[in-house]
Amino acid sequence: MAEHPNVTRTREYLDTFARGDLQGLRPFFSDDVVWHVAGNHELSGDYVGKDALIGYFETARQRSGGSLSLAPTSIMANDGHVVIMLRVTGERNGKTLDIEMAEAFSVRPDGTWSEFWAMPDDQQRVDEFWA
Amino acid sequence: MTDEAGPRVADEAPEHPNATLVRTLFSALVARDTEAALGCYAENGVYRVSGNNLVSGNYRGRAAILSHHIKLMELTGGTMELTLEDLIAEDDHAVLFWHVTAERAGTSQSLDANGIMAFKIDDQGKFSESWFLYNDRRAYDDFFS
Repeated sequence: MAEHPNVTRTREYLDTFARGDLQGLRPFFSDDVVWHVAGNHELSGDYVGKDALIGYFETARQRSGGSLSLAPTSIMANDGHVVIMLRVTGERNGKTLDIEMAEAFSVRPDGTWSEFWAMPDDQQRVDEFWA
Repeated sequence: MTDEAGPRVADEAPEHPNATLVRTLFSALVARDTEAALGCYAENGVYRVSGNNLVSGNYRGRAAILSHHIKLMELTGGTMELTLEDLIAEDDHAVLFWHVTAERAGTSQSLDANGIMAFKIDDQGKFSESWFLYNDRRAYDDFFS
């Protein structure tokens, strides 16, 4: 069975992220993208628009010393959505992060992602990591 | 062109067993058959509900998941209506997209929103983890506040 184009696109996105090419992530998103970051830490909240979103990625990268790593265990997609299950690891100020997350994207007909939301298996650990 | 095997009725592969598992859960939820719904979960399966409201949190084990469902039914007075929008399944994971409407018991509050459940499935064919996510967290948080 052929891979869904939204899965292919998601792999390209994760490869771009893994290379550290944050500006290279822009084409994946719609101009009015809304990115919801759950939890109760300094980075929690809604990021609206590409500039805000790339800014969030840069802040997360700086605060983790570039150690954040996203390893997908599953990428599932239909025409309207992508769902990723992934293991997120990172190190920060002697603290380590090692969690599993479920993430979902809304996909526009033009293939861009307009909304993102996610849930970690252990929100408290995420909050402590960024505290 | 003739096909010696006869006309092909459908070109679709049989449904993935994990898709069947998700449909079983969904049907049980629609029918408010909690026993059947819990039977889709591993004994120590986890049901994670995002948000910051009366029903959000991590529920581990069938008894905890049951308590969550009872709470949902109490708060909505049995008005919750679920519609399956789409389903994706693979060997270890599956995703369910749904639409939900509900009324909050004893109030004029209503909910009309979309939700996603992402599942991990163990080698016994049961849900070991499930994540409940939704497009409009604020609508859920307000409704279940």
